[in-house]
Amino acid sequence: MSHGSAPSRRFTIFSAKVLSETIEQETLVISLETGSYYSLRGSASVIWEMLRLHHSLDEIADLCAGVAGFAKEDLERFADQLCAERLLRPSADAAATASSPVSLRRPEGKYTRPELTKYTDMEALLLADPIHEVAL
Amino acid sequence: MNGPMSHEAPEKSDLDPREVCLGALWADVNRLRLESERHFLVAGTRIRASFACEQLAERYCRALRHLEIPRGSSLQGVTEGLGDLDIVVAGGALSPHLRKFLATVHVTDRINGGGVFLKNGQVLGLLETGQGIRGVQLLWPRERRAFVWTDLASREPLSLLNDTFTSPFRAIFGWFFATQGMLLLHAGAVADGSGTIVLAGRSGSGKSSTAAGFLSAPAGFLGDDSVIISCRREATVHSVYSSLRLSAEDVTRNPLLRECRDHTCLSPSGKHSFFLFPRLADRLALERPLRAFVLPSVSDNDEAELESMTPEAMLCAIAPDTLLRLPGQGQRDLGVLAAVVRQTPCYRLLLGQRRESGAEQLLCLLRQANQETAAAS
Repeated sequence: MSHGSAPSRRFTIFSAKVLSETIEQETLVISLETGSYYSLRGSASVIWEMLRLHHSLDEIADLCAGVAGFAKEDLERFADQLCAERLLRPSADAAATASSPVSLRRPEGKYTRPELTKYTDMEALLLADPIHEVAL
Repeated sequence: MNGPMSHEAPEKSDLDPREVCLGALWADVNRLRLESERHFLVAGTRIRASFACEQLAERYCRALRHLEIPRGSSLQGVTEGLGDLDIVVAGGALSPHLRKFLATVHVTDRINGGGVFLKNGQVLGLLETGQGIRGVQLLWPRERRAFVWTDLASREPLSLLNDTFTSPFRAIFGWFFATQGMLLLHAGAVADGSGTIVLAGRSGSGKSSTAAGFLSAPAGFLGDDSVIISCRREATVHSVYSSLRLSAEDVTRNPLLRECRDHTCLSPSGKHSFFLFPRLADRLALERPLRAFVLPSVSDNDEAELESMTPEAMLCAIAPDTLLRLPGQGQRDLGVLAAVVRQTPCYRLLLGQRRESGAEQLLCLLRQANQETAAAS
């Protein structure tokens, strides 16, 4: 185990305006806030699922430790990228456990670095129809 | 005609002034003098639309007339009704309570395109703006009531630069049907006697011209850019509007459309608007089982070609466009759409220079899918 003294980072979906759905080995993530949407394939899809279910970076890294080509730095970079895009945010309770151990699973097939493919062709639509939180 | 409507006001959960404002607006709506009423059957739901004046009723109901329930008729032959939705439409001067409500939610965000109001993450309403506020659509889903205010009653709209009348109540329908487990898709649909194909894709991808190619067949057209999908027994596609918008180039290819053209409705992209009912009533299909999703795209090929595509790619093509255009139930809508896409064959249609070849390919696909469904059952 590679855990340091500080608890490993966990994440949660940024807000209810971030939607995601996985079919086979591909995940579609839509941000209703920005109008961008994202495609996550292969390892990125599997890691996204684990991150959104609150598995920590250490837990995912431990699971993938034996996978050829896996590097924890890539995992951290990917998580940071998801946060920068406002799709995930650090969980307020870093010591919390994941919602289900069943959701922890290795990427299948040949491992490739997790990548986030971003599409912005719908952003103009959102600018025309912005969404406002009334917060009543 | 009915007097003021006698619904009880929605319960107030607290004393937030905006809630009070909405309650007062509700009371305003109940006091409105309504002069005209129409009933429609949309995706198994009876819609009662009440209008402050006949002029508004005529304008708003044009694209829905193929779904109108004539007084005294039975609902035989259509999907069993799920319940009713009441829509009240008024125009002219903005009521003080509506003005006050809008002031509280839109002080900083009054930009050209308008916006969607969310209440605790759920859709509450839509503001349509142009030069000033042009319209508001509000939905109380639990009470199954909606209110539409438009400034158009006070004008003579010789040219309308929006889709108010080619796709009336679209926001309300989108949110309401989402609460019923259905989904209003930004997509077209073509049909034969036994099934339908949903045409997905962005504006300009060839949806409308492909759909127009089915006007030569009886009951071949189910929708241009909005259809509802339900999944009660099997995935079924329901017609919403009988309107069609086409570029000038496509219009010349469809002489049948000449008498359906509406010269008062122009879309922002310069497309021409057509109302297919009643002239082409026999070309309209009302609902059919879903057989396939197809994503048309323009190509240099002479003949159209169909190729398989993955459900993941189809979800990417159809979900952002639908959910960003009309945010409703958010994650739940995406889940419903993904479930339907997973169990439905998906294809890419590379449109050919010979335009008829696209419709021919889709007819073959429909025939084959219908046969396979019949064999499987």
